[in-house]
Amino acid sequence: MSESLDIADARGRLAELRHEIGKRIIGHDDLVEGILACLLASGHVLIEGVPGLGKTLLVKTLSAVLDLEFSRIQFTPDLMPADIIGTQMVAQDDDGNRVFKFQQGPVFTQLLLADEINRATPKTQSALLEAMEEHRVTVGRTGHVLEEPFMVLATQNPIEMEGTYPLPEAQLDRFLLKLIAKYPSAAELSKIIDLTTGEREATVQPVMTCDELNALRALTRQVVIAGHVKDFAVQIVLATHADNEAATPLSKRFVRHGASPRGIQSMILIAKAYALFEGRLNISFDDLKSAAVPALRHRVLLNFEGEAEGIDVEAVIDEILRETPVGDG
Amino acid sequence: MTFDRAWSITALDERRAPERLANIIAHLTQQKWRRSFIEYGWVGLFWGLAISAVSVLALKIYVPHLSSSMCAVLMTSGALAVAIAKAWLARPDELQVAIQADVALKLKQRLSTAWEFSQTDSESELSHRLAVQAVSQRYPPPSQAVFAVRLNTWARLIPLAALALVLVNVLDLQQLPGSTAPIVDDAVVSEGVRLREFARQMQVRALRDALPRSQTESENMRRLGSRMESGSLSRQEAVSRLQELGQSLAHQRRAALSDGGSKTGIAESFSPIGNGENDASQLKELLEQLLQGKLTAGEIAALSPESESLSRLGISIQDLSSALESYAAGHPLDVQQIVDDLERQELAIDDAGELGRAIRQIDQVRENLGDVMVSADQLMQRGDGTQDDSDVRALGGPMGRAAGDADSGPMNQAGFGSGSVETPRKRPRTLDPNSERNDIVLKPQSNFREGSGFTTETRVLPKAGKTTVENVELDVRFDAQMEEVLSKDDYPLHQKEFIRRYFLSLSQGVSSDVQASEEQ
Repeated sequence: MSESLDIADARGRLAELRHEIGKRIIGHDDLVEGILACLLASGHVLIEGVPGLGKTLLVKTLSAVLDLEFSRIQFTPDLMPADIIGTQMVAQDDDGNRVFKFQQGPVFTQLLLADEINRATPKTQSALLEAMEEHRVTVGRTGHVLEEPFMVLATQNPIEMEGTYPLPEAQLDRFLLKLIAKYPSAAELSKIIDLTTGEREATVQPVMTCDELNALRALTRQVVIAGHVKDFAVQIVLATHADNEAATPLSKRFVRHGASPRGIQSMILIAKAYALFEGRLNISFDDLKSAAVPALRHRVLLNFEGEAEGIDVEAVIDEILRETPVGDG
Repeated sequence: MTFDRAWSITALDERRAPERLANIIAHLTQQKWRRSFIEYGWVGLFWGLAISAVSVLALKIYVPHLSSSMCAVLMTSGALAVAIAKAWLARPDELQVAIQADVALKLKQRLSTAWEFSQTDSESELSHRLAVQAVSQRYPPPSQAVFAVRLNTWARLIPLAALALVLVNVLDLQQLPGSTAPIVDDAVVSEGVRLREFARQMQVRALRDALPRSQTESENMRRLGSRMESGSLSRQEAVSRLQELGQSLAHQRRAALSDGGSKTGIAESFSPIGNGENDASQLKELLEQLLQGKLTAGEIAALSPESESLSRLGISIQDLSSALESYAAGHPLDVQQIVDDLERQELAIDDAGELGRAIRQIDQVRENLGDVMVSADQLMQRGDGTQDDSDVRALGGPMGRAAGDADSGPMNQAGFGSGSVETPRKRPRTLDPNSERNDIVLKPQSNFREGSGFTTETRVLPKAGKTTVENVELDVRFDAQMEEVLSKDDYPLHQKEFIRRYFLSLSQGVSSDVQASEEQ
């Protein structure tokens, strides 16, 4: 257990962080919680939602309260990989010789907002793969390590919209979570109006240092999971596979590919972060249930029949959560 | 320590957290086990009652004489015992208990996680912190709410099973339409009443006189009488059971006679007409007085003539003389031995007499129920050497006679047994066509040469066309031959009339006709 940060302290610090974010972000509690959980779990998050819901503002606010470096890439169809990771440029050294010098791209940051990521071509999207997985970038024969914490927050428009390219499965799997930005309620809209159209703009202050964040990320890894809770997680993931005996009727009929092992890793890590939010040292069934949908929804791929009938992946996962027995009692 | 106290832990108690965690789990495990006992008990009670209801119904149909209440008690107790044994074997797993408590109390798996880690690595700091986290929670629901006793489906079905059992118990199958229960035979019932009453009186006498064989057999008779009285036996079944009981009685009677006569040979030595009927009792009384020291030396000397009587009881004069001499020498053991032998013989003879009366009662009941085998059985018993009361009289002299005389006692006076007197000519004779002993049937043994034999047969056909009672009357009439002879030969008229009257008198019916004509 960390000497500098106890579990009770962590809960208080996280609550303080959420409170500060809430000064600028109205609503989106699930979204904020998911992003923070992903941050604690050292993952990347994919946020889907129509434009104008405050996704970019949320990421900006997060960087502000965490006092992290922030950069944003607006993905467009003509965006090239070098525009993301950087490129070799010819420069003149002190001796007057011309040499290639690496010019870092916007990926060299701590919080990277990849806005409308599905508007770029798959080739450009793939430029983020190594950075997301290895936290490093290789240009030529030289590798460049990214500064920790490094987190990619990608937003995408619903794929039904024009000018979008679906993300390849390999890249989707790199995202720890896929969160859905929902429309705010009437009360939240009213608050948003008051907050954003007045004379004064809401400001936030950094409430957590980078070291504190890294300590929290380490503490997250120390949250334990009991055997029967782990079995529950395993059963959930196995149930997403149509050919597994644990599969539910919906998954048997409509699922083409179930969740990968990375899916259960994501679910457990997010559940640990959720447990930390409540100041718990252990994962509960409820943590897993809360983590299951955002961690698995982009990893469970429907077959043609499922797509044709408009089956929602979340409905499949909800059925799995209902059918999977909790303990033996 | 109560459960609720165990949950209340302050920061100062953190060192005791693992201990308190163990207490909580142990307490919850006990609660769950207790609930398992109750729930298994309900299952057992339901199935016990249900099986009892079915068993009682089956008993009433197929084995009506067995006690249905005992069957119900046994079935229910057995099912309960099995259920409790299963509950005992199904001791709940502590981790499962913790998991269930977590779910019931919404503990977010704190308890189960802490318990699991405490079992794998109880010394680690993490395990300790998990224990602190688990026991530091305050839970509003009381401990009983976790594994509260609840009414499950089986418990709700118990009243139905109990109702079914009660209904089956009070159900009278004989009143059901199309019931397969045997039809009550009034004759069997009435004979059952008589048999039970006889058995009761026999039991009283047997208890009073301490007759072991009679006690046992009277109880068997009483049970059979009760069953017959209850109407649960058909006539055929009753006769069958009576036959079995009669055989048992005969066997016991032979055994009693054997006990009474084996040592001293009384049966062989004592004459059935013996002059000294009171020899044995008088001798026994004298010997007892002798043992009690109430006799003088002269009276002891006067015992010598009694040795003659004693010899008829199968005790040798030499033995008696030797015993008396030993007594005179101050050793009363031999005399005591003789007294004991006499008492044992007396008891056995009384027992045999009582059993003999029971046998006759059984035979009478069988006969009243139309059993055609009674006479054959009696003959077989005679063939076996068990000659009714004459055996007892022969054995015991005065004692046996007393036992035999008791046949004409209150039972017969009350109408039990064969109290009616019939002439040999009119007495119904029972026949068994299949028996090899048909020679007992009355048949004309002489050759009439002339004259007509008239046989009147009365047959009673109670069931299935089988003859069970046959009454044969034989009447020989010579009137036709007489008239023929008188018409051929020359006889004086007054002689003819004398001859005619003589032959007509041979036939009672004819003679009465003649008398009637004369009166006219």
